[in-house]
Amino acid sequence: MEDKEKPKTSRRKFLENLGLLGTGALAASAAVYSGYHYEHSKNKTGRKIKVLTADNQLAEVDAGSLTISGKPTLTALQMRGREGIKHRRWVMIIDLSKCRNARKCIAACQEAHHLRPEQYHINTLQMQESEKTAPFFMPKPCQHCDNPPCVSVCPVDATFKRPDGPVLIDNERCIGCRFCIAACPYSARSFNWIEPKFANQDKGKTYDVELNVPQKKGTITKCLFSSDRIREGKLPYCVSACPNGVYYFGDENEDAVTNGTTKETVRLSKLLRDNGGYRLMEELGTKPRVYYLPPKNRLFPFPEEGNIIEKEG
Amino acid sequence: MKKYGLLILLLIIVVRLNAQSWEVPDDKKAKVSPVQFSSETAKKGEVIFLRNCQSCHGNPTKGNFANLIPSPGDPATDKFQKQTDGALFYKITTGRSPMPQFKDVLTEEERWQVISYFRSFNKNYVQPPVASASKVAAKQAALTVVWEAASRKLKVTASDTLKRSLKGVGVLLFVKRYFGNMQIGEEMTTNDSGIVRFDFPKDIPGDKTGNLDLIIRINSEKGDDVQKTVRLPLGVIVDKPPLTLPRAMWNVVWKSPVWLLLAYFLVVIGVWSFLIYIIYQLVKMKRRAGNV
Repeated sequence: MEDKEKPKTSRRKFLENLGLLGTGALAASAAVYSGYHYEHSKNKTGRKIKVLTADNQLAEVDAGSLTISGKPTLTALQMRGREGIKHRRWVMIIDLSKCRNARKCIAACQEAHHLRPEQYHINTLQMQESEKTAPFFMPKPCQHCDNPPCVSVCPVDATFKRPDGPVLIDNERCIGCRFCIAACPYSARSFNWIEPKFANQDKGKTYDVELNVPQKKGTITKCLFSSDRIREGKLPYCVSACPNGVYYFGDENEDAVTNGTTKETVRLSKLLRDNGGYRLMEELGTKPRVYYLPPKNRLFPFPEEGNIIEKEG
Repeated sequence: MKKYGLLILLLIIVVRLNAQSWEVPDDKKAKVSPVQFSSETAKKGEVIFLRNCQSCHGNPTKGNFANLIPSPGDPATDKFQKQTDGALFYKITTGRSPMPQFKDVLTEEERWQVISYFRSFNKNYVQPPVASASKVAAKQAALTVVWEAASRKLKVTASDTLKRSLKGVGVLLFVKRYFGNMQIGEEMTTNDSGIVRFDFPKDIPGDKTGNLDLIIRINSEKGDDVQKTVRLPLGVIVDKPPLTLPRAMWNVVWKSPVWLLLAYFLVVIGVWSFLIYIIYQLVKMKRRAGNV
């Protein structure tokens, strides 16, 4: 009974609500606008630059919104790095019978990727299977597996398998959890525990996923099959640096590999068949893209210390 | 101790003897340069030498070559200078372990320039007469290519500008690959009517439509090789899928498995709707209490 006598909303209450709604709407639109404004102006420097357009007209643009073509942006490099090169399947062959531990591949690699001397994307290991068998040197880069355990465990999709074969790492995404180091059966990855070698020199450079330069502290660094060189139609850094003809590199789809030293191009299938090619740790099912040719006809004894080829008797 | 010393000495002698026998066929030894050596060719040779040879052979006359077995040696010494131009050319071309072959790295002209550089350290050297031009007439050659499908042979006809057939000319066949050209078969010599026929293998992979870029080349010693590129559908069609991984558990949204996404969102929506339902009920209870 009492309910009916009381009006449901008083004028005072209505005005109160209206005021509240109005302030809320104002605050919200202000927030939206400032966000929008920020997005638009974050690259603006206020500095104007005069540019000549393609039809010979002088125009003035803000310095921040200017992207110089030929110098790709980080996003462009990341997209390019993920897409790879169409209809290719890169493959590397390492002929163990030819390796003499010249270490030129390591040097070329470290120089290209701005690595410290103790950081290896590729390393030559001294191997001896048993007491009576001939010792040999074994260069070991990332095996660029077709079924990479490192990629499966990455929680942020920083390391990825590319359509044309290489397993790359995007240091802009990497959070430094090092799951991939633990997952890799070939110990192909290393971690930037301290500031990289050229930390100062590389400051301000646009990060290239295909080169891993500039290196970044707290992220992973690994062999990239020199994806930046492949894009240009050149052989990888290590492959072209080898003086002993150890490396072959090529496209599995073309069934052809090119030797980095002699520049001779041969049939991939024939090379593997004739020389007994094999892959490392086949039983793990990782399906590497790096093949090895066995270390037959070793011409020199195993070094006691350092390299006996350098000492000659 | 003495015994071991003797053994090591013997070993070194054996290794040395093996090392020094690098036989060059007599016809290769007799080969002479088609290029007249000059200070200019020597200069060009020096550039090539510094880029390709210096890491093992050091700087000529300095004797700072690498300590390898067999020893690379210094090109300015008698060991090198006593050899004929042809022998040096053969060794640069073919190589032997550990010296790499330079057949596909340097053109013939460049190899002669390197030899010219070697000779610039030998004051007593007199260059033999330059090779006659008869073999080097390839400059004005024209190549016609015909595919004979029935016999799977590639017929190449070489003729000069006056449409006369070139006989006795070496012709090479290559297939273009990403990092270089792959040779098919061996070098063949044209017959009297200027024709060679290459057997073409069935299993060379082509592109998506099976096309192959074939390169036919007449080798000339002066470096003015005649080359022709033709595109023919002789390859196997290759269209393999990309190697990217399928959806996986630990990855970004667009790669994670559909069942995982579904389960996750169902649970989230379920929990949130439950919470909202509780709040709604609480509000309802409060209203009813207020009404009472």
